[in-house]
Amino acid sequence: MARLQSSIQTGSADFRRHYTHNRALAAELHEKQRQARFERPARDVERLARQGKMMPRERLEKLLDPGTPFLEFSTLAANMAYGGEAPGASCITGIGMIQGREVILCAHDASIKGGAWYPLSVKKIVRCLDIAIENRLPVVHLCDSAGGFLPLQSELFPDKHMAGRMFRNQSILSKLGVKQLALVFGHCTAGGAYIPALSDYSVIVRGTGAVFLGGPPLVKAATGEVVTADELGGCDLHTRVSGTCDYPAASEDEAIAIGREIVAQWDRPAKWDIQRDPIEAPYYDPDELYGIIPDDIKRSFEMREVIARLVDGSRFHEYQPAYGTTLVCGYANVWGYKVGILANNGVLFNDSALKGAHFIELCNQNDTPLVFLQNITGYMVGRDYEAAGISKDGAKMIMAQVGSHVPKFTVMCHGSFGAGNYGMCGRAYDGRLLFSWPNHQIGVMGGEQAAKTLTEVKLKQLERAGDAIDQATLDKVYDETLEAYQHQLSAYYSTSEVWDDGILDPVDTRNALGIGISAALNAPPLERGYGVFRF
Amino acid sequence: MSTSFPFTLDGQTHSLTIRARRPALVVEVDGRCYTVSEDASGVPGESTLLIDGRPHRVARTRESDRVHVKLDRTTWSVAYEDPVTAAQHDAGGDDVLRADMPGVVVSLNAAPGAAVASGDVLLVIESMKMQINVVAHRDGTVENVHVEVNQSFDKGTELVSLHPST
Repeated sequence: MARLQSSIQTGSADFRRHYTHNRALAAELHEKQRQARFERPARDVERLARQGKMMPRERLEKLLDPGTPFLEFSTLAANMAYGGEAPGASCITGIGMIQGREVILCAHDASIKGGAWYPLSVKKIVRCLDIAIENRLPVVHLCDSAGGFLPLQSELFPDKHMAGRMFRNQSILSKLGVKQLALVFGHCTAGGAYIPALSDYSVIVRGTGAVFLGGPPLVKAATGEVVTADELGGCDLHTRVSGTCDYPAASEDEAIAIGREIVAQWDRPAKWDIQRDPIEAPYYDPDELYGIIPDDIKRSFEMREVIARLVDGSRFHEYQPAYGTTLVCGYANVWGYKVGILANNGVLFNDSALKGAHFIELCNQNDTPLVFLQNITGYMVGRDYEAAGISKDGAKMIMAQVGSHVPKFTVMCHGSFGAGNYGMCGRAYDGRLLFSWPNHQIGVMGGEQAAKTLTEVKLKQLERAGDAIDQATLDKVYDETLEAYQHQLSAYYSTSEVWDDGILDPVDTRNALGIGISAALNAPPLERGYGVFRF
Repeated sequence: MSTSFPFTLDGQTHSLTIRARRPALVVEVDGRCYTVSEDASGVPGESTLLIDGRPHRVARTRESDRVHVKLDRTTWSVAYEDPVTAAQHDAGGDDVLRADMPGVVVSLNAAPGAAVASGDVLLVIESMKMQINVVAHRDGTVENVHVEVNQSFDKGTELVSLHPST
């Protein structure tokens, strides 16, 4: 495979301006992540210390194999919700290594409101269990939660993908033969009691760990019985009497040691054997990505320059290099794994959509995982394009993409607007993992377009009512719409709502994809076959 | 069956065809066949290459897609020519750059008479809410710019023409 030839000029004014801009965005990302991970009120830190509990990240550090990577999901979940009260949505999820096995970690964070689940906590936990199901990854639950956050119960309890889904997903995992271990460090109250009860293995810490459907206050209110948490659902009750938990532990350290021992007993099913080649670092420095990504969401940029900084040896075998040129398609390797890349180099036309659909089919024929790199404002609109069948050509791309039996990964490199999001494997399309860059924006249309559209609607209303056209009113509508829109378009809003699996510093993308592909191969390929393509 | 590889040796293009792999490697270079085998024993990084029975001391090192070979006392630089890339070099293109899609001109970076290199941004257009660079597909000199800033255009409109290549 030929090495891509970069044509960027690192000394140019544009490159330097973009570099400064994107480095600042990356620094802002790291600072927000640091705050979400480590900044807690002293009161809560002291309370955990008094209870003899570790902080959740200390537990993870002791549980994971030393020196191995931990790919954390959605670190900034809920960063723009609940007035910032629930950093990380009160839980930590990710893929890590225990005893040489890839596992999903799901840790409750009792340093935030006693680990209570906010609606977005439930969404984040359900998502990590979905990842476990799709990739057949064992799960280790680190339990320490007060249960659902009652003031918001209607937003976390009743619907299909809310709290009940955690336990549904746990049961599905077990049915699929995928192991689960619960380490009970703190309370597992109400629905939370099902986490250890539905895990194949569980360890509980004497003194602090407790599992019960109703805690002492609820029991007292319901029946008048007065009982301590330890008597009601502590370590000895569950390991000696009820059989709800399997192994007693005298301390958190001991629970972690027992947990590592249990994981070491698990079998290691063979992975799906796709093509792997010797690993090569990218020839072009990924640091240059900062100078390539524009500082204006409307600007397109050469996606081959991005590919050159993600893939092994910066080598790329381009498919149909002269056809449908606004969608770059081709084969490359990421950490040795052969992948098929689809990257936006402009608006999707009929030919680019057809090329994309065909290339997706080729990757499926070849058992090659797909990587989508998005910077898209949509499929081309207009009479000529409709007459040429742009709607049905876009539909072919979606049909091929959804029918894929190979794992799919998406990186939101810049804009993701309108229907282009669908064809390029947006969140709704069951990609194994989806990451965003800090400069990313997403919406059904851009902020300026939305503001213009709504201002025109307002103008028509005023005209119909026979009112005087007041430019100041129109300007206000425009400004307010734009502001509200910008807020919701940002990558931080997107990740706050768990529309992605986290924001990546662009230079970390190659590593995140490598971990994701490696994890995805734990699952067998999906069923082969497509629906009906409209020709 | 035989496999051919184009390569450049100190700037000159040659073609290498593998005629046989066993019992010994036989390669045809520019119409002449050679029987080649290698003996790796000896100084690390060096080996002995037997070409038509005659021994030659050889050392080599890779740099990007290029291999530097020291054969006896002479050093050669060999590069593999990727066929997909080579085909794109030949694609050439018209002297006139036309719009791929309807849009509006955002800025002009080229004026008649300006010398441009392949990859230079000639103008920026906006279409479908996206600003797109229109770049020179080859080195040349701008003959004419057919549009103005803020001008709307249809698909197929001539945007910039270059002096015909010689």
